[in-house]
Amino acid sequence: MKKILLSLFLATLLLADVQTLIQKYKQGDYKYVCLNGYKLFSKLKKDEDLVSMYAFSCLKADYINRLAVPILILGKTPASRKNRAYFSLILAQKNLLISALSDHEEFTGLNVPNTDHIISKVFNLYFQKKYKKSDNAYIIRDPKIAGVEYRVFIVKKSSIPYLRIDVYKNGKKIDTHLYR
Amino acid sequence: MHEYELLEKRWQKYRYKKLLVKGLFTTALIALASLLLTWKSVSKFEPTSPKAKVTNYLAPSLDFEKHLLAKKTAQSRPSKPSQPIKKAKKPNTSHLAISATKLTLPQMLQNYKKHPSIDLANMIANEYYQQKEYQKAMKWAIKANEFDKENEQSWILYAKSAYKLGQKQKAINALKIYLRKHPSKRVKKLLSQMMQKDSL
Repeated sequence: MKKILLSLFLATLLLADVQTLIQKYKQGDYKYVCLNGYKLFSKLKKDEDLVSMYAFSCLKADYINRLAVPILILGKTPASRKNRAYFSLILAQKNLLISALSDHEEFTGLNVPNTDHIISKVFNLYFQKKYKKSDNAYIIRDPKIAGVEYRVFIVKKSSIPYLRIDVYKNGKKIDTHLYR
Repeated sequence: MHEYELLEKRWQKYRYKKLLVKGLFTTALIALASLLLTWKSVSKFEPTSPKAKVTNYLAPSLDFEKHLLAKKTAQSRPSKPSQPIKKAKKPNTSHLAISATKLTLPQMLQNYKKHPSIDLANMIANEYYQQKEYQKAMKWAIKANEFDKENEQSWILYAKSAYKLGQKQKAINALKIYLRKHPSKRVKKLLSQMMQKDSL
């Protein structure tokens, strides 16, 4: 009995509270907010600002599949509806890109808004056929940032295709994104 | 031709004329009514809301970030204000959780590099200020201010850093500029402290 109580006490101590999440969000520790926000989601879901905070943290930490739940919850205010549309668009673009690249699906007549997210950039340039193909990778140059190019390809992990985007600046790899 | 026949013809002519005028008047009335009806039905479906913006760019709304600060102070208030002193002496676990998870300056800088934000820029400026690196604190306060010119914290950090660097007039001017638009008690207090040569 004592052991159970002790482990319960330790668990509550370790559990991050909402205040810590807000603090961490401000410090830019988005991975922490996304991972711990998931555990505390029953507390966060009552407040749309906190749900937005959780969603943006997951987006910035590249855990974009976790946006699915906030998309369902957001929608009470114009701002949250805008964010819901923003998250839905990025998630849809990611899924379309994976289908197109891994299953060679061809989509025509795609005309969706652009966003500031890397997936949107790659999505629009890919479907405008502004790429060069080299082996299995699609090399896409950023028309707005000089010297920046994205190498987009599919990697398989235990037979599940992942979308990988490597960001290069002047030929040097500066960032990598991996999406399931 | 008898006179009565002539009279009859004239009367018939007059009747036709009268009928024609009546007919023309009724047709004009019907046309006008139908025109009015169509105009009304068209105006009924006109949007009453302001014209929708046509854009091919979807930007997120970061309004929630402004609300988060208010939330933090609201949640940090104790639930029972009249707690006995014995209970108040107990360690505050929520405070411990925050201080235990505070990021270091290099971590903050790294996070800022990936995802720049006003809060983070202010935090970095504050961290440099605490470490007495006032030049760097000033630089980061300016960075924070670039996100939002109305952000009070960035003006305060800028003025405080300038004051510590011996640029008293620069600091006072900055606070005065801010006060012109925003009547902030905090800024007023800081300004009077600077004017009275108080230590900050």
